[in-house]
Amino acid sequence: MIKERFDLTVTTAGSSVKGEFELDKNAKHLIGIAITSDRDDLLYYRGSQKIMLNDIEIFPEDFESRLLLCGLHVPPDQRMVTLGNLSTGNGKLDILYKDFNSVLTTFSPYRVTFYAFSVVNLETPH
Amino acid sequence: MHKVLVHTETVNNKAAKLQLQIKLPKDVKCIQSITITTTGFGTDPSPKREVGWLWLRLPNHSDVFFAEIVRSNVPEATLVSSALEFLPQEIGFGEAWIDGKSGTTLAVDVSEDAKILEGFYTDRLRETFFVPYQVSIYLNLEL
Repeated sequence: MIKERFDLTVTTAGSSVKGEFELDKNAKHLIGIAITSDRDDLLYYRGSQKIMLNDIEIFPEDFESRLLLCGLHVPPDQRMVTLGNLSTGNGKLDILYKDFNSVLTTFSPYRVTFYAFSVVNLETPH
Repeated sequence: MHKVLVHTETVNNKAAKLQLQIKLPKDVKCIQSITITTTGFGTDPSPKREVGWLWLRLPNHSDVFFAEIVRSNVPEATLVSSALEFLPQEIGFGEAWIDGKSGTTLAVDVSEDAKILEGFYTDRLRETFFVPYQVSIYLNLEL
């Protein structure tokens, strides 16, 4: 399994941050993603994202980040959001992260990290 | 093939009643699950507080097929299988999330000539100082 990390930094409240990333060239199938932050509370209350793999929309715009977040009580083996076996094609991963204002949190710049889990060969145990 | 549709309504007034229409893709066959979330509360985001009521109906169903009492910070139903166990019930500043619950899948067939989901949402917050908030409806569709 190939595990990759992609970071976005949100520096302005209410802003959108776009990231274009390339998956490892050896990765043939994207099987899951995970999302974390250095400020989970901001991610939970303020975040939403659109994720595209090439032309495939994995998560639509305004899909709230909290629906993908993972708590500490979850076994590490289960902390990935599975996507089936998406063919990576040319491996272009587009992420549009949106921060929207919430009176429950006070904004400060924060990092949002996306992890991509992919495999070279589906028949290989992973 | 699956597609997730997100529809967001902003509730600007206390006791507001919002009528909503969600256009479904032409090739939708089935609504596999529905998830509702709320955001933007200004005070007391305590778990399980009643926020509003939501009704949804499809033309091919003679009556409401989905009605939900929307509560704040209740573990959301899930759209992706592996998200089943890690939905936070409550989050504070620096507190660990301690609980979560899987959602229940609701499958509703959509007929070929019924491509609009309609319904309404009623605000039920009993707050002295009302703060506008958003209600998001996530539809997990089978195409």
